[in-house]
Amino acid sequence: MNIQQKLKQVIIEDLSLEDVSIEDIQDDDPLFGDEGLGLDSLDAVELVVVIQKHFGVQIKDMAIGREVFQSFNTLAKYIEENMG
Amino acid sequence: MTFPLAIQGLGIVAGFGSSNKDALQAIQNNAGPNASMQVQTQDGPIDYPVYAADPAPLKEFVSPKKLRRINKYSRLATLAACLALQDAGLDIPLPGSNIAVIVASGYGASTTTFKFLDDVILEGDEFASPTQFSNSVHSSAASHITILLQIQGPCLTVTQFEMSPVTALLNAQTWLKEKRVDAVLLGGVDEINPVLLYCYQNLWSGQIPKVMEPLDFQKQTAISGEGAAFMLLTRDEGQAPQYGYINKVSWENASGFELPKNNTIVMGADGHRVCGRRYSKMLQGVDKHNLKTFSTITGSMPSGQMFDVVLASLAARNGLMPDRFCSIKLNGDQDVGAVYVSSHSDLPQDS
Amino acid sequence: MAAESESISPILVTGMGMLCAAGGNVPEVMDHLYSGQRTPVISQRVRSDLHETYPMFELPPSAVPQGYYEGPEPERCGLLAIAAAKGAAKDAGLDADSLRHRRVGICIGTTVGNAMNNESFYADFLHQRFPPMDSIKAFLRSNPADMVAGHFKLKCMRQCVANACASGAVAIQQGAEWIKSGLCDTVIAGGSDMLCRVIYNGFISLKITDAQPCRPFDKNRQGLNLGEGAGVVVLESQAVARQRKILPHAVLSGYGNCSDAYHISAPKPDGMGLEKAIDFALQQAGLTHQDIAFINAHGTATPENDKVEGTLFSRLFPNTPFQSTKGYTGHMLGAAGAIEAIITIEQLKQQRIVASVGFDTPDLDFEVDPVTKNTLIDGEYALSDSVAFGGNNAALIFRKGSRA
Repeated sequence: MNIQQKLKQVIIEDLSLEDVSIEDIQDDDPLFGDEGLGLDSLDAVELVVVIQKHFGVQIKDMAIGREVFQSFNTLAKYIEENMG
Repeated sequence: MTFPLAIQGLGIVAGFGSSNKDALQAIQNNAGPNASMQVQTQDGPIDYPVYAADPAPLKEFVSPKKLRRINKYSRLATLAACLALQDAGLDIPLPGSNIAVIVASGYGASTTTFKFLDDVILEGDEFASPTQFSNSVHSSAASHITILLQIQGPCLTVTQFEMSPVTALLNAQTWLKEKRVDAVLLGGVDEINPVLLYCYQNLWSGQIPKVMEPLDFQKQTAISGEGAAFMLLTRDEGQAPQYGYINKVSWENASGFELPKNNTIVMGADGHRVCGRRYSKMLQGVDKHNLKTFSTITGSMPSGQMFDVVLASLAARNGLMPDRFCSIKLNGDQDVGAVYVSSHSDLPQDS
Repeated sequence: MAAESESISPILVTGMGMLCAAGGNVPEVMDHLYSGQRTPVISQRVRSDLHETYPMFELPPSAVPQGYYEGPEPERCGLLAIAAAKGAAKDAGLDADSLRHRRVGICIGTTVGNAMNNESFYADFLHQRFPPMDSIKAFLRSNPADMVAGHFKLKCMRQCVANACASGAVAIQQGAEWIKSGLCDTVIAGGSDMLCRVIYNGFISLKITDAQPCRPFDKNRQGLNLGEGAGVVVLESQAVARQRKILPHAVLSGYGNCSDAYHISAPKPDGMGLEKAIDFALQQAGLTHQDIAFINAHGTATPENDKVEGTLFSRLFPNTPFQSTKGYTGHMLGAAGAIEAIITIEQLKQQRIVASVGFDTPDLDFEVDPVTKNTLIDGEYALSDSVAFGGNNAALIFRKGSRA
């Protein structure tokens, strides 16, 4: 499974997005706001833990978080670049 | 404090189900524990009987999308709150209403606190979950109720072991008496988990009971229960409310307390032998036909008195017991919580 | 509601006691605040395995009263509540004996004091090391309201309020309600909270803790510092206080408690719930916004909280001096509302308000800034507000009392 796919899966599972399936999510879908998955500020900080847990990639502060949480694409790219 | 609270609606979720019909059936059939939960002990695993409650019907009131982060503790409370509002004929949500929310809990969201600790202990501190943390506080149930039902009034969560329901009701009386709000959505909620059962096993070790016998005061027969029991309460508006009135709520000293005459006594005894002795002392000379217990159908939990009051009100309304009753709960050696209910409003003595 | 305030006997604050990292009693805390000093520490007691460390406002071991049971850990919260309650009762001229002859209520706000969060017990349970029940028994005896009652040997009505970080303020409100409704003559009300690993890890996980001393309302604020302590007041009706010939520090003129109905961990951006709570308090007190001489803000120094309060104050109180004292005490969670109520009353008495420490650069997202110097005021009324998780908002308005 590539990073995009795995990312979609862990977000659906760990953020309890019960009514969303992997196929529903486009690579350039935004994560936050009503246009995208509808995640909010609490999901954002949870996502930091989720990414660390599943990919071993640290998002040091929320300034970086805001940059990389734009869409699945930006987050997948960040994970790819920072995976050990 | 004597100030009539009109009971406009009831909502309950417990081991027996989550509707007034389920509750009435359980009362008539004296329903027992409905599930078991495994606990590890030094002598190997033990299956404990429990009264496990299922909050799944909440999806009929609130879209599943809004529930994704909400734990069982808050779901149980929100379901019972919705049922009480529905029973009172109110539509959900309630923006712009002048309603207060009061939640009483003995254990709070302890299951979520333990989930938070699972990550920290097993994975490390950097894996602490902010979502679990936010939902682990006692107040999370009341907060979720206000958010999901759009209630913008005052909100209060109280926790005082077995006295939690009585203090919750006293606060409701003050708010309604002073016209701070028009209605109070008030309930008790508690949740079971293996840690709690492990503590039960170690604090009161002995034979694991199969059924609760709360009036056999010599025996330890407490079985853990969970769920939520809510009421919608208003001032006495002159029209007879469907479940009558809570006329008086009082926190008494056990030493000087006497059971009221001409009332059916709803005993809070819930199978704990240590409390049983005190209940037994209090009941000396009381006609057993005049006694009711509901703990056998809900299980034992600190907010149990709220379940007693809700179930007795429902039973009285449906002719299953007299409509003037007093719910009694003991807490430790010194405290008695008493809730006096009847189909008629007693004139307040202090106004 | 305004018309009703006349019929209700005013609720008086006749005693105050507190302890926190800024000091072990009321005068010590106030001296510390007026001096502009602050002493956050890297805790030796509460640590995590994270690389970064976050300063906290922790009570030194010498300031924590001796435990009753086996070590102070599970009962720390209750011990702090006892220490504050002792101070408050003494200040009100009441001892255990005189309290026993009254209809007393005890109402204590806390977030940690009732949580089953004993980490070592749970770790043993999780790893099937079958922990003994000692720490559970200690937990069952460590309810702060029960511990305060036990200290004074009172068999009275008790309640712990668990309204997250508004608990201390809400406990004072409910104590006042008990007096107004005739349930009690005297209420010992306040809040108590302690630092522990669950709280430390939890707030760090929310990414709202500052690795530097916190900077309330500053443009560059990065979050809060945690703190611990307890604040307790003695509340009585005017009739009872007159009978006892005790002068009040302050009158609790009005209070409000309103829900955002918005989010489990974020305040509503427009501050609607807080505005409603403040409006309620003003109405009950029969006041307008202009009557408020100063505001002790919640001011946690998280980006979100301070923006909500800053924006609301810009609209409702554009010319009213305000401060956050969390730069001196840290965020004491369930104790914050009660300790800040006492700090508010003390400043009203002294007619001088404390500089809001940690503020340097104005935040252009709102139009008001906190006071940066100890400032003389001339006014009778002050507001203290609390903004908590889950959209719990509370407001307390005090009028200066006649006690010097």
